[in-house]
Amino acid sequence: MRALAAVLLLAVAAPASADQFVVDVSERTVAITAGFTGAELVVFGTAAEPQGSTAEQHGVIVVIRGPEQPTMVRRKERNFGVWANHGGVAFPEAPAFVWVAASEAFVKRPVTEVLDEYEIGQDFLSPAPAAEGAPELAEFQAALVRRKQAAGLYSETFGRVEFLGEHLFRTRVAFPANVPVGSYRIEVFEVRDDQVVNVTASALHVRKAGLEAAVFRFAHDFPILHGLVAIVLALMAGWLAGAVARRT
Amino acid sequence: MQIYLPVAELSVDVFLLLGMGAGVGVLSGLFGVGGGFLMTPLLIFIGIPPPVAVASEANQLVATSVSGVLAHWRRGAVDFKMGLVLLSGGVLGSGLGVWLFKLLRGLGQIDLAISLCYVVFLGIVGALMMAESLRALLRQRKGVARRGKLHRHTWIHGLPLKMRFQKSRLYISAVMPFLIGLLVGLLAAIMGVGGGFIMVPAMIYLLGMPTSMVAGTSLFQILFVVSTVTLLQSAANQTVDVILALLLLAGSVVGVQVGSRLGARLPSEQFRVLLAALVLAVCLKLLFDLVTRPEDLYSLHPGLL
Repeated sequence: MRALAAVLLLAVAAPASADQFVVDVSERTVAITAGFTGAELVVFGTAAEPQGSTAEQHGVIVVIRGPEQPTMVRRKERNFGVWANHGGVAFPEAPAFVWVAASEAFVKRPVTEVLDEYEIGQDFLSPAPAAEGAPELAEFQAALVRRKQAAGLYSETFGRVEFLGEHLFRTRVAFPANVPVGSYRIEVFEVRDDQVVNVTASALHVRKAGLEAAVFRFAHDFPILHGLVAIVLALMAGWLAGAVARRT
Repeated sequence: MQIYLPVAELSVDVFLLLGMGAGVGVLSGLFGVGGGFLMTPLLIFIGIPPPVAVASEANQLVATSVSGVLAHWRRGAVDFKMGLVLLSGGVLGSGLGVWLFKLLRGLGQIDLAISLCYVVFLGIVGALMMAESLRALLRQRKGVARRGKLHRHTWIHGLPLKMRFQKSRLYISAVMPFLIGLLVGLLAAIMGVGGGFIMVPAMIYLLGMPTSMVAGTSLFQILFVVSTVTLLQSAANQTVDVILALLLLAGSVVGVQVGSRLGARLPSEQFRVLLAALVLAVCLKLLFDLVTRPEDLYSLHPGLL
């Protein structure tokens, strides 16, 4: 299979190798079902320029960023001996999930100019607050990243992009069980001599499926009816339990 | 085996939930309590968001209380008139509670409010229960039976709107049961409890109801209050996770049977001391979490409010 792919690649890419930067992902949707414990996807593609003699300067960075969600960061303070939330900063569009992988050279020696420009990775992520001029903004931004990392939603280190030969690369992404539902963007940067030479962006969707989706949608679209059904289910279960207990 | 809870939006071990249901169920059967005051903090300890824990536990309590009510009703041990007065207060209280819940959630203080309510009420009830059961144990040792007065006249009997409750053989003001119902409804909405642990002592000591009527009547009120809370939480906050409630329920159904059978064979006075100790332990754990410096002072909350 790989040999076939390589042959095809050669056939297609050889004549015009300079601008063949193609990226795809093993699945376009991640479905969260009842037994969901996370998912693994493979992002793969062909780089336009050959990996080889200039391997130190050439490589690929893959970023997956997921649904922008309004998020409130709150800080606790001690009042009357009790630690309680006191003040916070709202971030209207904080990405719920961020994952980064880079080819080996860039993992060892991060290309800070590129990372900074495109806000890639935990050190360069700076979500905008709802209101300008929030005091201690940097601390709240750092806390947002730290809490997201603790929840396993922002990657703490760069994953690895592997090259299979001159052009073909791939990387594995593991989505945790608590991955938020919504639209994600997969961005792939081809970098040469600390400059981005190619960029692609594609979409990925994470959604609830089957019973999980039905229950969630029912709870949100028909909240009153959902409440009534929840009560009736519990009444029946309780009555049934009592009836069984009396028999035995 | 993991299961993804659709409203809580996280995956949890099925057997952990079934086990928790069974464990709390055994205690419920043993002591005749609903167990909400243990289950809700447990759910929060394992990482269920507090609003979802409170609302889903109310849903589970619907099932627990309906089988209890039916059993007491068959024995004629439910004072429906008293139950309705309690309930009128309860419905108003739970409405207030759900509204307050939504308000506090917006202010980012709901987790604190839930914890504080638990610390205060578990502390009071645990201490009273401990004192009462230790005293009973001592009396048992000495072998002295205390005989109380048949009727004690207090300020409660001076309140207006007097009503006759034939089943409980009481002629008292409807204001007091209404207020008790109100408080229990409020607590049910905020704490995710049935409130039996407050209502039962209140009915015995404040209203002077005969103990034979107390359990059935309080369960009657609890059934309707937790149903109201389930409906209102679902409508106002969309925090009822039916899958979570059903799993807890499946475990507790079995646990309650085991517990009530065990209870018939074990010395109840000694066990009341244990229950009181358990209540106080949960209270202290929550208090400890409130007063120790958290590992990270910052926390994330969905939404902008």
